[in-house]
Amino acid sequence: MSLFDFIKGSDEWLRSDAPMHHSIVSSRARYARNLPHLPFVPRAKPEQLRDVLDRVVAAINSSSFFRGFHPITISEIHSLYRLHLKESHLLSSEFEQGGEHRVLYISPDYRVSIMINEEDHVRIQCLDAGFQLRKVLSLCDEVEAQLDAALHFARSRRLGVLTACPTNVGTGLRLSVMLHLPGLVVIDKIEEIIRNVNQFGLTVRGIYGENSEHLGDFFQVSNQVTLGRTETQICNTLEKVAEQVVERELGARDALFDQKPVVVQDLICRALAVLQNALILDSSEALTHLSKIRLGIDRGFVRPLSHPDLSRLMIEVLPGHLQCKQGGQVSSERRDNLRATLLQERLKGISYN
Amino acid sequence: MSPEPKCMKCDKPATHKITKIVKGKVYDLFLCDEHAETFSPYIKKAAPANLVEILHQILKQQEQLLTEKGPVCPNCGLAYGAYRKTLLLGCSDCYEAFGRLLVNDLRKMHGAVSHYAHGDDDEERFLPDEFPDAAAAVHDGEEAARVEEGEEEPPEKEHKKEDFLGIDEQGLILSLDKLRQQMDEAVKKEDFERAAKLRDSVRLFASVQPKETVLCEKCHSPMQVMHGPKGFFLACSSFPGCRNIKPLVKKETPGKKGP
Repeated sequence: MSLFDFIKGSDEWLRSDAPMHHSIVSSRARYARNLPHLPFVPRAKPEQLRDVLDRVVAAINSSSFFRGFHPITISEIHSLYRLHLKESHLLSSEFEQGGEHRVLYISPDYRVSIMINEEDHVRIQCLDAGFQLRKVLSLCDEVEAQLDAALHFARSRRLGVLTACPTNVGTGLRLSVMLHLPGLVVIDKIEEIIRNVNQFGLTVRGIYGENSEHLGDFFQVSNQVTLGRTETQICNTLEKVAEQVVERELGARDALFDQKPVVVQDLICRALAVLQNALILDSSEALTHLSKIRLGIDRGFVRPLSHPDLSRLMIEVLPGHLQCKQGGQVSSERRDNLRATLLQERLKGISYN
Repeated sequence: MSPEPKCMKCDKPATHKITKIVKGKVYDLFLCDEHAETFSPYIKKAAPANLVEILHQILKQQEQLLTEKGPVCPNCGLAYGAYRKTLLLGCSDCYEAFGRLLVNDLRKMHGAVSHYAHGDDDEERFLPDEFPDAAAAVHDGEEAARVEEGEEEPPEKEHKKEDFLGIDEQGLILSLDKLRQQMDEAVKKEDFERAAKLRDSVRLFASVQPKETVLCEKCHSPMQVMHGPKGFFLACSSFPGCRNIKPLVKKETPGKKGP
């Protein structure tokens, strides 16, 4: 399989049906680690970054755990592929910008990605569909242990893991769930939920992490504090909060169907109608409509569309995915047209019943 | 400092040094404003006459800034002042180099200043909330700067401990009030080094004060916390009238909290 075919398949992990997929699209664990004594990425000179890269690559190559992982040299792939990978959550905004001496390793099942020379020397990320925090965390632990054996990541007894930014010190763990909350958005309870979540020391961000809006009714909930808590504690807190938010979301969906069935049906039908008939759709509009469809899936109103189908579709309409499929850069007008065509194809024959 | 060079064509001080290469040989020409201008119209005028003095001043200022910027990481060379601009550290050794200076940032970001052992919820393994060198009295910046210049060996920790805890020059045992008194005096005398040491003693003393005033069972006057060769203890405040002493029951270590 060529590298580009591999990249194009980067949403494989979303195809599996997963626990609580009706509201929790994915779970992600990320560890930030650095090599001792070598300058952190923001202050390192090119030859030092090269040194870090060489060492990490050597560690990866020397372990059978990483056999089959695909290495991607960031400066050598087209920016559209970088965008595609970012949309699939396999690479960060920082890496999407490009840069020298930056390499990304992805596991064959797309669940593990390792970024070398992002803000920290090594960023390990594990991703899976639905509500699987413990699974992604233990997978991350495994990967970290493999690399730590060879690289001996920088730690201090007092502060735990040492990172470029003090906000990551301690566990270096950013644990998050991607929630899809169209119900709460429709009944306008999102602000309240965000406030409640914040009280647990967790942050709520848009789909691409920091500095993105709540596009498509997606909300990424993650821990803020990494010092003075164990990984297990962070996981427990996030789990409890996620469960509570999902309960509220399902409650909102139930309330809508029980108390305002016609209103909900109207919302879903309008969304379907636009998606099935429009010729021009920008990503924001497409995602807004697609989000409403989620409300109908649980109760079987929009068969045969399933939750993973919808989640996958919400990624395929993004600009990077569209252009990679097309084979090259395309004007935004043409993209909007391609998007509409794609949606017409995929939603053919689906109606509210 | 070498004597100010004079212009080669007149006796004014030279403000320009022009390097000319003629037939493979390098010539340095020292010229004043006037003659430099006639030499080449492309040369900008140096405005001040005593340029050397001004350069000297600038260098002095930079030196000052360097020490004001705080400690510098010995491994990567990042100055604390530079860290404050980006909030990004230079290397893993910076954490050690900047030590206590990072406490406020950590507290703001995490509500904690130290970490648990990995995967361990056991309270006993909880690392103390205070930095191990809580007894360090000298300002980190000064100390680090002096150590860097090789003027001073970093002081031993045992040395320092004796130095500050509740014992004054005459070896007398001190109480919190006396310490405060001594601290104020030191500030008046402008002996800031000593005042800083005493300030830390005061802090430590204040942290072990019992929640309620303990009364002496013999004379019913309040007892105060003192420090002697064997550690902290309670002594009757009406000493030398009453010489009653009692062990100090340690209250919970400040900052220790459950998971």
